[in-house]
Amino acid sequence: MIGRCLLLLLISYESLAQTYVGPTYQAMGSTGIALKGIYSLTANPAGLVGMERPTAGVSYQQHFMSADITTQVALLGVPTRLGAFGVAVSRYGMNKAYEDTKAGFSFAKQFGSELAFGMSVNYHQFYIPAYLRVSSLSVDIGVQYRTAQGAIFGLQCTNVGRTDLGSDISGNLPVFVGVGASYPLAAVLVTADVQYRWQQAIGGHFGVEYNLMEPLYLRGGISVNPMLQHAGFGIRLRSFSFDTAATFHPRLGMSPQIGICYAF
Amino acid sequence: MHFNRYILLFLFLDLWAACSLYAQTEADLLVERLMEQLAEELTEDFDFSELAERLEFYRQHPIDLNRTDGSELRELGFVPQLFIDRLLEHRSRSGKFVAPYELQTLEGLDTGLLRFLLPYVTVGASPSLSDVRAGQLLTEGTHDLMVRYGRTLQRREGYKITDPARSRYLGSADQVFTRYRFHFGHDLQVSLNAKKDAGEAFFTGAQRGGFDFYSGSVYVKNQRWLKGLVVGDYTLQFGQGLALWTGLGFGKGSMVQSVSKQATGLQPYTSSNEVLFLRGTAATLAFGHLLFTPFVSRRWLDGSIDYDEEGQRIVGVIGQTGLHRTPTEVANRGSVLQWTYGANAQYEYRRLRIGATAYRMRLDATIQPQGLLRNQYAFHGNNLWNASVYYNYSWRGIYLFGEAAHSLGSGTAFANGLIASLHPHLSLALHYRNYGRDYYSFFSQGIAEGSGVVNERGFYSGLVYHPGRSVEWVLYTDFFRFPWLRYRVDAPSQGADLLTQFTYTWYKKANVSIRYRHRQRGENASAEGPHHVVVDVFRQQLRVNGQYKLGDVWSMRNRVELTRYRKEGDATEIGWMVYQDIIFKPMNGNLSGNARIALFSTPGYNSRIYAFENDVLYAYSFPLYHNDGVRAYVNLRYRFGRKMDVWLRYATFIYRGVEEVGSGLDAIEGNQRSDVRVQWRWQF
Repeated sequence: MIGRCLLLLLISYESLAQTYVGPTYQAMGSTGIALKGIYSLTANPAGLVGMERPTAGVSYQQHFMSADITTQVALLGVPTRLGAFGVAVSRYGMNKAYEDTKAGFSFAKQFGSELAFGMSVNYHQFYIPAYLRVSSLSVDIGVQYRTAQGAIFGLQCTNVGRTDLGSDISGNLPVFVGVGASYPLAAVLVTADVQYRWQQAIGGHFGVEYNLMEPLYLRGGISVNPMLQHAGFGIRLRSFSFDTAATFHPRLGMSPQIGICYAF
Repeated sequence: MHFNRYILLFLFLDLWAACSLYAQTEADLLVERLMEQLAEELTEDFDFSELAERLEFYRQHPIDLNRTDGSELRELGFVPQLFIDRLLEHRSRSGKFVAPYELQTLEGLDTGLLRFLLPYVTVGASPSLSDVRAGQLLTEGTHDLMVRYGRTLQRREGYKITDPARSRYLGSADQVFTRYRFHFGHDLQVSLNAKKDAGEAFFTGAQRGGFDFYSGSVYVKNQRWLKGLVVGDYTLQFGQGLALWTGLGFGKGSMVQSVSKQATGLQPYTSSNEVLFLRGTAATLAFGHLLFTPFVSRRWLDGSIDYDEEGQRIVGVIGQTGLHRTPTEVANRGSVLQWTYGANAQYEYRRLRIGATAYRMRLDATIQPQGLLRNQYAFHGNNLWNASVYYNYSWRGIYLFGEAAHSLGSGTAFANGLIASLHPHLSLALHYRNYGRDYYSFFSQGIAEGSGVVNERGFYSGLVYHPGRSVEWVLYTDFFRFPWLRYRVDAPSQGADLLTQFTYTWYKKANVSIRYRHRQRGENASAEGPHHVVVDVFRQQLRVNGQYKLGDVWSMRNRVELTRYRKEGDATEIGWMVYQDIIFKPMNGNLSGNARIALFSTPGYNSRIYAFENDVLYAYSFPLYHNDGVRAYVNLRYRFGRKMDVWLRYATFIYRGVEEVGSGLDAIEGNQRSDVRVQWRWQF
């Protein structure tokens, strides 16, 4: 019975399930449209150009309400002369009951010193044992513009073709358009995003990262509509970076995430 | 080193000259801003004069930067502790200040704070009381006598009733307030207040002694080891206000730094509110870095006395209004005796402050709240011990503070927070609170969303971005939870509060601010049912405020405000208000004044709008605007030479489509309510 209830929750609580972002972005208020780095594979693909070396990472997130609902993610990004390539594979769900797998291939290219474009092609598969297995493809695109002072303005559109999972399942693939900005102030990075979800409400996200001292980074943020608080910290030691994040929902409780990356 | 300092001084001299002309206006602006911040959390007819009076006092007797230990700066209420610590450190490292403008060299001082602070500080020596003879006290001290009279012109229902069997107002509709102060320099102050509220008797009935409320104190400070002594009415503020905090205190608001409460320790009580103070004697003694404050207080409180089966005196709630107009209010007047005694010890060393407080409160009647489920954890009894420990410490741009309090035999309350300047332009404030549902204190005032330091958990986070002198952007969010039932909330509930405000200032000319606030909390659904269901209530506020100077004499101020109230199961209410103020204040000249015209329309009480109003000196109005109508007021001040001032105020509400204003005994026939006020002050 509990399993069925959770199942219902998983399918109906789409907004939480399908907007996974990496731990650094989650801690900064679930932003990412105007941020750069390997975790842009989970947000605006144009941010991938900010990666300086080939990087691989894994993350693990537990969801609200139950420790059984998790997301596991593996990321790989490679900057080349042609542009930056990346692969992201994520699995969201509950063992032997529900699985939502996504595999994406991203490419981002810098034009001049200011403009960057990115695109992801994603394969989605929903699987509920002894019930159904459906799959679909989606395309995300993103742009980032960087000023000489280091500010970034970003635009991101997910699932531009508005594909869905067919008529067998009520869940759909999220379609949203978002704009964001980030601005560095010495040891501080401030960022804000506004997202419009197709046929739903507008949401706002706001985050701050503070480099208290090397190698420690403190992060915090809020989301509006729904109101959520986020916090986390990161440690960067040589080629490793270790990040944690947690999102706090007033009713559902906490959703923590950890991630480790290695830059070759 | 010194050479540089004199160059600095020279550079700032012209600025100084220009600025002192504006000091008065800056001070007005500051007082208004602080008052608005205070009023957001308080009731309509609260008296804020305590803070205004203190600011006015320090404007006339500026704080000597070379003599202060920081406590006077804390009393100002708007100076962050982090900055005070830096100032003291700078002084001990670089020697005495040459001029107040030297503050500019301190890290973490934004131009806004400097502008507000300058009128209140100086550099130079002022004499200590110990060098003064008694004769000098009388001839060189300053006396300040003020009398205020006010009245609502329309007759309220309560005055029309003559039937002694019914509830009615026993006194006249006149309000009279008298205030006397004697100051000798910084270190001696005598205060006396006497107040009669509208509806209270005067020299008759229960108020045979004249006024309904008298309050007075003698305050001496900075006499070697005697840091302060008050005989009479006083306030005590320690730590973060979880255990002991009387008098005024800031809560959440657009001044993010105010989440860290700045305790002023022992102060004389000079306000006319009839609650929130102690009466007796208290002293602060200094032994090196250690401050010790013993106190004792004995007060008569209001309450409706009953007797239980054993003949013991019991009381339901302690009255908080201080109004004694009707036969019931008069019967409850001063019926409960409260004894409070205890002590505080505080150790200060450089940027560290730690302290502990313990006190006992005893009543001669037992508090016995109604037997409702929400009162399950409420205080029962006639005797309470409170104990608390607190700290604050600043380190490299980070200010840490907190308090843990315990009411003996019941619960605990904690609050901890930090304010950090992440960057010269960006500050962060975090505050976590956890107040037990069975924690009690009769004198607490912590940061809280609910009605006191009880039954609440919450996390507050705020940011202030200040990229230059012209732009300020503030954002805070507060998420809270009430683990037990509350008044009109029949289940554990939670909520959130978000505020963001952007201000743009054209230096000395104008400023415009835009504010958005979103609040959400649980409340019983309006629909009648077998039991109450708790639903979410959303309140949104959008405010655009502007003020600008039209030359040296005239300035204008306007505001547009929208509110939206939504509760599940009820109709959504949208209210609005617009006002236009005009302020006339010549640099020289005896007459000054201001006026407002406001239009407002709200479908009901839930979408009401509060707005700050100018009033006669030391009186502050924060009326609520609701229903449809017009509000207008005029204030005039005339100076008779340097010693005497007279103020006049006329204010009116005219409502559309109503036949009665107010309710119950306060009801007025017709659609208008007008008030007049006259105030006279003589300084000698």
